[in-house]
Amino acid sequence: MAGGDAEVVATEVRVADEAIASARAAYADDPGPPHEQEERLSAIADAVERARTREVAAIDLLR
Amino acid sequence: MTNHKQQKAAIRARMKKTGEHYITARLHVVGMPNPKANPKVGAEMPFGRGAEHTASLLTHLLGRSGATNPATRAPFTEPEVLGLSGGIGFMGLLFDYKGHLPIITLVMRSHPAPMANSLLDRLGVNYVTEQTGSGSKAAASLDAHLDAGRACLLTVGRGGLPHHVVPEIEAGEAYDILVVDRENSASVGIDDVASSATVISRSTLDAARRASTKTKNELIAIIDGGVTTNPTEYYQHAIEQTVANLTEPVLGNAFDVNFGIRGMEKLAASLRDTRTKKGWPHVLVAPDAFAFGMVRLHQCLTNDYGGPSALRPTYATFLRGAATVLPNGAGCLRQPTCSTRPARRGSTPPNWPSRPPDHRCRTLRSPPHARHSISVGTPSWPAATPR
Repeated sequence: MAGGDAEVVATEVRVADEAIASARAAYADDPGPPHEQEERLSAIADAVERARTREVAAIDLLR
Repeated sequence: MTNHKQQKAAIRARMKKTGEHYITARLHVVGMPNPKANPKVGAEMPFGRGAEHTASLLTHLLGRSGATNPATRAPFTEPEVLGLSGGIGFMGLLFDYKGHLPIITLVMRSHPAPMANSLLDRLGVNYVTEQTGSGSKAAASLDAHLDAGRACLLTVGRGGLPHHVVPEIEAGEAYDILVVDRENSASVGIDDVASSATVISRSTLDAARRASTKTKNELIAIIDGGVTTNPTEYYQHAIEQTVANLTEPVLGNAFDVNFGIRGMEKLAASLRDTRTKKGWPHVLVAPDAFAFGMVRLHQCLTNDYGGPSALRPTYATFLRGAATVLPNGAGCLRQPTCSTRPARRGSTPPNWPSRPPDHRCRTLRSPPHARHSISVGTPSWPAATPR
């Protein structure tokens, strides 16, 4: 499993693209009124949460 | 005159005659270097940015010193350097300065332990870290290292570099560059991860060094690039530091809530917090603040203090290499005998790399690791109001 753990981790640590895409979309488009801004920030928060969950799983493999 | 001085005189005469930069003129006078004659000079000198700024510079620094990775018998790659210097990490802060737009700072690499010291200590190479409040001493030391053929990693104020456009509030932000050559008495060639050396005047460099007041003209130079640590040990130690960065307190104070997995939780909560004044929806409610904040967020996740996809794919590449070195892959870290976690040392943050007993760091005045108070972000962080 020498390479196995690393391969799993390699997949698991690719975690940030969703947050990056959300941030890009948030500034690339007209942010709109405050409630739309809140929705965009909430979308980023969702991505960060998903990233965090997967990062925790990856760390468990490294420990 | 020695041959070296005669050669330099000939190079400078050609520079004067042709207007060429030092490196170009040198190629004409000396010819292409012979790799067998001097592997440090003969190897193609690395330039350019990989995934992350400082990891790229450290890769170049090691390459210029002739260092090779005993595990691969090849020069260190950037993923290896990133992983061995502490790997990935997370810090999230939102600074609110009066009269300025809110500034988001996310750090996606190992932080706050200085990457260079972590890496070089871990590898056991012979290097020096110098800090001094004296500009003249700092300049003399830089000259001495350059004359000895050593590239020097300097920490400067980013705003002091003429090719950078930095908001005034961030002009003193600590920023690493590599000084690779002395063009003449009045200018130097620097590696700022461009595709080739950037020539700046000596006075500009000195001013940029002064602009980063906290780092006190910091200079790191490798005396001998020979790696003295066992590869299994430095891979294990590096991965342990990464895990600790993400899961344990790194500063030992209230700011720890902004680091690692806890920091990610706090970031998500702040992004959704519509009830309090500290919530991002409130702080970023003005359209210009929101737009600036989102641009900054994107930059931090992809470039500043990190790299593409928050450096995670680059770290995955490092882990694949580590799996070929560690006897049981990452699982080796679960074995008690493999533990190399550094001991707590006084006020040193708990997951910082320990120095080997025979470390060769020296300072001109200040103690090593003086950058530990955060080398990225805005200069007046402690006085600001992190949310």
